[in-house]
Amino acid sequence: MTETPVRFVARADRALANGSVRAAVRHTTDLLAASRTTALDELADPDATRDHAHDIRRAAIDDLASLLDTWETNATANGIVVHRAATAVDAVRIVLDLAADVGRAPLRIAKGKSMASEEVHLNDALQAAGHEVVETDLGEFIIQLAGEPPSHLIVPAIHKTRFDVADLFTADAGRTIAPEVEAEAAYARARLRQAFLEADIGITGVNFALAETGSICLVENEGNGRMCTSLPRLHIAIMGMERIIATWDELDVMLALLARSATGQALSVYTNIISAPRRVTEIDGPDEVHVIVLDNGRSKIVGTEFDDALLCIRCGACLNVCPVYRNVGGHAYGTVYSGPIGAVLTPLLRPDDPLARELAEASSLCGACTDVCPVRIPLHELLLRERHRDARADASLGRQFGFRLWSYLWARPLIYRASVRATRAALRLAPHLPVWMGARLPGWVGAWSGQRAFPEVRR
Amino acid sequence: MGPVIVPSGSCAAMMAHHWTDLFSGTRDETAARSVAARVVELSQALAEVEARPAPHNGRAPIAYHGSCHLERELHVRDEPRQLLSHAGYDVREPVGADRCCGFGGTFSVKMPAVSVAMADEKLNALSATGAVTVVGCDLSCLVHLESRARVRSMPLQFRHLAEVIDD
Repeated sequence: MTETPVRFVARADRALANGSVRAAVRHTTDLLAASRTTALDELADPDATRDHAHDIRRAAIDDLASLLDTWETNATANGIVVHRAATAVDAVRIVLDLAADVGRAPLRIAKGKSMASEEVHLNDALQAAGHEVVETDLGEFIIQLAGEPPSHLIVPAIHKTRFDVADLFTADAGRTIAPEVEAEAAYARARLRQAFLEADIGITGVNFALAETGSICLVENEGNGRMCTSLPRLHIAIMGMERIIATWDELDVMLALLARSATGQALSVYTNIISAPRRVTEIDGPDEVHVIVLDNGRSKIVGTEFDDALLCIRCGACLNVCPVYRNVGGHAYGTVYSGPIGAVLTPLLRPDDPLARELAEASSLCGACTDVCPVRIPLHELLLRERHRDARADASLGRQFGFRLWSYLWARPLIYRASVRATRAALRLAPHLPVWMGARLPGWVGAWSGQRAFPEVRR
Repeated sequence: MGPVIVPSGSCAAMMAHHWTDLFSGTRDETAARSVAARVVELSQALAEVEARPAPHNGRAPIAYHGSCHLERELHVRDEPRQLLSHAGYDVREPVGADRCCGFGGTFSVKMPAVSVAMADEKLNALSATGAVTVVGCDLSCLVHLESRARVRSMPLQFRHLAEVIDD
């Protein structure tokens, strides 16, 4: 899905005008956030578990290069083919080459949910090469039919109602699919089963890579991930390079938090651990397993004041509590990763893109995200640091002079008091200003006054 | 030197938590550190001296807005609620009590439409408590909410904690 070069504010305005999307997003995020709270309380000491998870992820990022090497050595010894992709273009090229090596075209490709594949816009490239790609996660399947990018990390079709889904399925089926969950699930099941059986290649994401045994772990709820990793002859997994952890004991801690934080489940329905292609004694599984380790800007974040962003395990908990996300939904961000983590990560992954940098402003810095993060990423503080960095980088001479003057004046008590008196006088007039007139005032005053009217100053 | 009592959660959080970073390496660093260490938010200060506001009977119920930086950065949750209860108020919590009102400083003017949408959800929840008076410890949230409520002609009143516990 290509992204449109439109500012966040414009996309947010459009999203706010869509009541149906907002209602759907609020409804589902509220459910997920409430389930998360209940599920975390089941742990003996949720806060200590989160501290532990933070330490595990922090140690992994501090030791990233060496852990990846260990993992690669072990995975290769198991028979997994490891590819390193420095950029999105490299990752796409590797997949296209692997598809070309099959020796037939066009190929049928069954895809499990993978944000990394969204990040590199893999589907567009595969389809341009003539291949048929079917997203097999139910939510991803729905948005693929709609021709839209995901609007939530783990609930990609969160903005769709069952009526929207019925319309999409009806168009796909060429017959009426009732707007009932059962009928929709039945249609998707039949349609996707066919895709699994016919697939030449299965492509999935990776939740964790385990260095000590060279394994990858993939969690999911629908069994589609297991189908994609076991039925087709060729399995290709794409992982962000930061998804590494050292040991299975660490995986235990991460799994205790991931599903709880994401959906409120104690454990996902399917937890797949893949350590090798099919062995001669096994009756099923792919002949080849390829794992693409994607950098695409990540290694440049390591060691900076922002590298806590790489601790993320993509649970989506920060989206579910974010008051900005709940009002505008994921598409308003215009990027693959939305919500607080998207606002933090996107400007880091795309430092030269002003539209990405703007996302650091898409937060009231309320801190709800930081409160729920299972690996304790200080999300709202990272947003503040990004703004700080941008303010320093973008400071024009006029701006610098303005702030210096302000600082100079306010450091003098008499002038400070006079400015407070002047502000009070202005605020006494403000309530008498008609809203339509306020909205026409320039800059921030107009932005405030458009839909808000200053109250009377009380004495 | 005595405490610096700040009647606003976000200002107090800024001074106590962010000034040290902000002034680090400047000539004001020592002064900033000294003030930061002494900052106490008003309801915290009142709770520390075990203030017992005079209880009145027959007060109208109030809806309490616990602001983000007061609760998440200063961890001041119980103090204002207890002060209000002591004063004889029936303190009501809106649905989504810990959700941001949408002010967020420059966020309110850089992303005005999103800010107003957040205010509207908060105002609807406050209004649904049945209380007419909204009480908070952050003037910025209160001004934001009142400014939006005026445009919507909502019959809500907004008061800072300091205005309602001593009358």
